[in-house]
Order: sequence, then C-alpha cells, then structure tokens
Amino acid sequence: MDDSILSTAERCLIRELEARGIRYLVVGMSAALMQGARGATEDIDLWFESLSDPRVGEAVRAAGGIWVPGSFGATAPRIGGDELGDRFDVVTHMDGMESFAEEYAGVRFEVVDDVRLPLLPLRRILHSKKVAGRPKDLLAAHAIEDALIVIEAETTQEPV
Amino acid sequence: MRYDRGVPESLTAAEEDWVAVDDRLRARGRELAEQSGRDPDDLYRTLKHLSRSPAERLRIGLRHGRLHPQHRRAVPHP
Repeated sequence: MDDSILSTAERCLIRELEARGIRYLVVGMSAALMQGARGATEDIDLWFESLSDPRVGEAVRAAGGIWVPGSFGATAPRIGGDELGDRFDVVTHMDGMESFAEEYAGVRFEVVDDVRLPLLPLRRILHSKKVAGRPKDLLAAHAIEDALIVIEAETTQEPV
Repeated sequence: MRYDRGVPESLTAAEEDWVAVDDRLRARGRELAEQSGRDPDDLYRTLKHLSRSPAERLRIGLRHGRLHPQHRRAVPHP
C-alpha cells in the first residue's frame, strides 16, 4: 500500500488491538484532524482503558513493536521499536475528561488505510484542549472551534 | 463574462469548474464569518479541509507536523 498514511506495522497494531477487544481512543490533534480541524501533529495519541492490560503488550509485540508498560513516577509507558516506530504516543492523562468508559460512550469511528480508528469526539477534544491551556492547545482549540462552526452550519454533516 | 469576475479566458472547463467550487467555498467562508465573528479565510480553509476524507486530513496534518513542527507550537491570534 504505497499511498498509505499508516505504516504496515502501525496498521498491524490497530488490527491486533481490535482483534483482542482492547478498548482505546485516538485523542488529541490527530483525532481532531480526522474530524475536520486544521492543524499539524507529529504523533497519534492513544488513550487506553487500562495500561495494565497484558493484551496491550501482546498486541504491540504482534505488530513487531516494543511495549514499555511504564512505572508510576519512573518511566513513561510507550510504544516503539524500529519496526513500529514512535508515532503512537501513549497518553496517561487527559485534561478535563471524565472516566475512560464515560468518554468511550461517545466514540466515533473513522477508517484510515482500511483500519478502523476509534476517535474521541471533536467537542470533547476541544474541552480537553481548553482545560490544558498550553499555547499549542489553545492554537488547536481555535482550529477545532472553526471546524465545529463549519460542521454545525452544514446540514450534510453528522453531529459531533 | 469571465473577465467580469477576474477569471482569465484561457482556463479549461475543468479549471473553470475548480474556480467555481473555490468561489463558492470562499463565499460560504465569508458568510459563516459574518455569523460567527471568526476569520473568513480560516473558515474557507476549514471548509476545504472538511471536503477531504478523514484519512486525507490526517495525512496532511502529519506531513505538515513533520515538516514544520514549530507550527503546532505557535500562540494563536487573540
């Protein structure tokens, strides 16, 4: 798949996560981009329901990657390795969010490169960006607000 | 007629179609800006962005982020 957005290993990881029934959300700017916000990002943030779920590591290894589960206060959880790369970032804290289960109730799915990505809805990403409040979050919030204005004004778009 | 709206006569039919679509998006951007108080060019760009598939939107954002990482760290205009 020469024209792919995701690498072979990245697509494999998404499939392995889904095959194992692991619940996670794509959050942050990459999820906002897919839902219509303009902007830029270098990574794809993943928020897992449980980082202690051993199936997460199994899925990462099945995709040829390295899984570092992390340790509170010592090292951050991460997905990496030469094959899988470091574009997937593991999120451990989401500003302004309810529990994972509550946020997952609003999940939206988008298909990229034939794999299905579960996305945090745009309005919830906006809320998180505003609560986080760093300059880059406020820049993203501005773009997300523009997208929401346009989406809500266009009757052909489904609500977000 | 085409000169009347500043479009050169040398455009092909396909190019004229592109201009017509772009004109509509710009007009819609201005209309939404009047209603919302936002920047018309930002809304025009957002309309264009939303006309792409989610996958293409991600591709553009990731490419831009890799080539211009400073652009995601800028402070927004008030």
